[in-house]
Amino acid sequence: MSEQYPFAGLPSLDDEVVRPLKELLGEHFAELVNDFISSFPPQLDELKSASRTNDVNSMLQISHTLKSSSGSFGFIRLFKRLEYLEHQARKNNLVNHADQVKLIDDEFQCVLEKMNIN
Amino acid sequence: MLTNEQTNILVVDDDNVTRHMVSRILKNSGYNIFEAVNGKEAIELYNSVSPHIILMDVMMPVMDGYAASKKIRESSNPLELPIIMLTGLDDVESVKSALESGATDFISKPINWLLFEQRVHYALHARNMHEELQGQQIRLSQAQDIAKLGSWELSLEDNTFSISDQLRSLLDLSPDEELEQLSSLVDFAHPSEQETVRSCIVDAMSNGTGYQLEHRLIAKDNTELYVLQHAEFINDRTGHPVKIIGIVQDITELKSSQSIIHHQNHYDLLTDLPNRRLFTEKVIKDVVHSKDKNGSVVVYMATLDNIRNLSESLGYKATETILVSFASRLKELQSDNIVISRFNDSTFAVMLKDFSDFARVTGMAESILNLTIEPFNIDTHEIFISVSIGISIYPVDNNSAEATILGAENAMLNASKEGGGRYLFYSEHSNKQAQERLEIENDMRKGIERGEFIPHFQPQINAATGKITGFEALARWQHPIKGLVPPFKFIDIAEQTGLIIPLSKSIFEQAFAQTKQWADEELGIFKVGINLSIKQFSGNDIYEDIKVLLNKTGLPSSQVDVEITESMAATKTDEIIHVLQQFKEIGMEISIDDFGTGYSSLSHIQNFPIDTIKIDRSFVSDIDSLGEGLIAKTIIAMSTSLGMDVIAEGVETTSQLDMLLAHGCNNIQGYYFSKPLPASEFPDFVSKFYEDSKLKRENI
Repeated sequence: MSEQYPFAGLPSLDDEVVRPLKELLGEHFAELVNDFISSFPPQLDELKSASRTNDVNSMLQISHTLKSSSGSFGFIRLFKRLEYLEHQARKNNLVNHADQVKLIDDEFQCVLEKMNIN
Repeated sequence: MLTNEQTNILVVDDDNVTRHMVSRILKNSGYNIFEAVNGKEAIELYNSVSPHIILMDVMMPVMDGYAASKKIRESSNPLELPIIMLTGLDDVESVKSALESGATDFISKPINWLLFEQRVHYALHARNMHEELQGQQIRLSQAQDIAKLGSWELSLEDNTFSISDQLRSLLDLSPDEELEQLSSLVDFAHPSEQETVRSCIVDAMSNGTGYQLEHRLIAKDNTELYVLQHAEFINDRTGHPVKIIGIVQDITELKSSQSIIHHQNHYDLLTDLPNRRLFTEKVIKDVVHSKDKNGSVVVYMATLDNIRNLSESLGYKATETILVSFASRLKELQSDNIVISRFNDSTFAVMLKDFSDFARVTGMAESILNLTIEPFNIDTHEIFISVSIGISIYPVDNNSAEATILGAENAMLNASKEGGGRYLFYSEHSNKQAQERLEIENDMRKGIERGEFIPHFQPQINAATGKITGFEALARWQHPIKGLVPPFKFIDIAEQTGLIIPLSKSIFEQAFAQTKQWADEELGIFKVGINLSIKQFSGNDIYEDIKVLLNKTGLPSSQVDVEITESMAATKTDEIIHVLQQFKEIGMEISIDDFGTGYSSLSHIQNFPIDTIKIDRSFVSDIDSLGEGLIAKTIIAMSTSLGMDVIAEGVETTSQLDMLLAHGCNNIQGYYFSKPLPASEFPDFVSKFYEDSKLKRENI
């Protein structure tokens, strides 16, 4: 399914973002990543719920917020997938949003793995 | 310039993670961070913490970034408070909306952390630069206000002219009033100085140099200001002048202070008269000036007699009142050629310059003495107090300003020692001279009234025809005690005192009457030569006066020969020519006396309606000496070529007569034929002259 959507070729982490961010945040980097990781699942759940109920507006708000923080950390593929969803929601042209939410969830798991590795 | 620690940054984002990341990064750089989760909270924090920069998300619950930005902009300036929008909406419309809502800049999400801090730093730097510039402008403006410094600028490229608010304020213009051109500023200069300012600017323009000058401005509300104006050319990189910048500083208060200080240093506080310092400066200046003009300066020192005793009995207040009162009486003597000063304690000084005669010197002393005739009133008392005056004359008595002042002080002390209430000159010579002058002047007044001044007649002979053509009437003083007083003893005094006018009138009248009488007695029709003084041309209608005398005596005007001196011809030319022409019109002849001594140019003399030139006696006596009468010969030749008659004065010897006749000067006056004769002796002279001539002819 992932081949049907764009961004499959992108890496999970954009080193160009993560490296300077680590330098800038220093010891606080890990703390802020943990904040992100801990705040992400509840919002992901809300996104899933909105998808189930076909609540476009909620999907727009949640994808926008999650997109912003994902991008800030350099989680580029997660960012792009959230942005895509937000974009479609904004145009009120959501296609297969359940699949997209699933891909976002998958990518978040992937980020968790990468972050654990790192 | 703010340090990071002094800089407040407001971070507004509903996304906790992004907000914390931004905050943390900026905190790591030392900034003070305040966080808000929506637009509403942002406005509240904006009001309470006065952030120096705001970083704000666009899409937020409760109030979005656009609305918050708009609200904040109602009370802030983009240059003073940058708002940077953190927007994931990177389409053109979103950017446009952000800027329209008052944002200064935007940063797209995901944030490029490498550049993020630099963007914030740059925005803060720009904001701080603006604040610094604004501070400098305010300080400059305050400094300009304090220094009362206005400025103007003229572009040499498009000729635009502008003035600063401070200059606008100096000129009392309203904030929206502009001056179109530099000449409009010149129009504010004091009318008497506009030409100077204008020519200074024109010179500066043509020379490409700046200028600096002090002048007065008349502001719109008619206030007069003293300003120091300084202008400089400003060049571009190639050295080509592109504009002129002018600074106009209000120095009115400085001028006023200088004036007050100058006044305090140079004037006496009690009487407001010039003090010793200023008086001495003025005497020194006038002594130097009079040296160039061979003039004289008189210094009077006047002290109130017994003022110390008075001070002890009536108190110093009473003394001050008398001093002030005497000063105000002295001020009444003030004129252009007089300087009055309170020299010290009870001594006043007066300087007299440019005076025409010695009588004026004694006259001024008399005037100062007379100031104490009236008593001084102290409360209900009338205090009579006299004054002792010392007089010293530069260069007669002393040869410097300081010595002249000291001389007057010494003379004043002597006058005081002699009992006060008098004046004394520094030198005995001056005292004696003053006394003599005064006596002669008084005697002359009486003598004129008593008819002691009489004409003597010196015959004028035409040696070619052997006839007496006339005579010159010369004043003599038949003094009842001193006998016959020669003219050199009284003519100068008569001229100086103005007594020459009544004296001349008396002589003319007697001479006219005598000439008429001799004609009536058939002694002869003689021309009578009368000498006019320059004084008679000043404020007197000499023409009318002479006409009245002619009518009174019945002498025809054709028998009168008016003589003026060559030196008179050199002054008051137009006035004298006019009067002489009137004399000519009624048939009188005009002679110029003492010719050759007055350095007149021939072309100048030609302007006068002259019939006869009289060769001065000094050139006639020269005929017998080494000079061989060269000048006399020249004057004769010149007169002949101008068609004028010539008469030689002071002819005493045969050789002089022969030479004069040989060169065509037939008219002779002098001791060779006769000295000036009293009227009683003239008829005998006439008879004898013609008798001798007859004998001579018969012998031939």
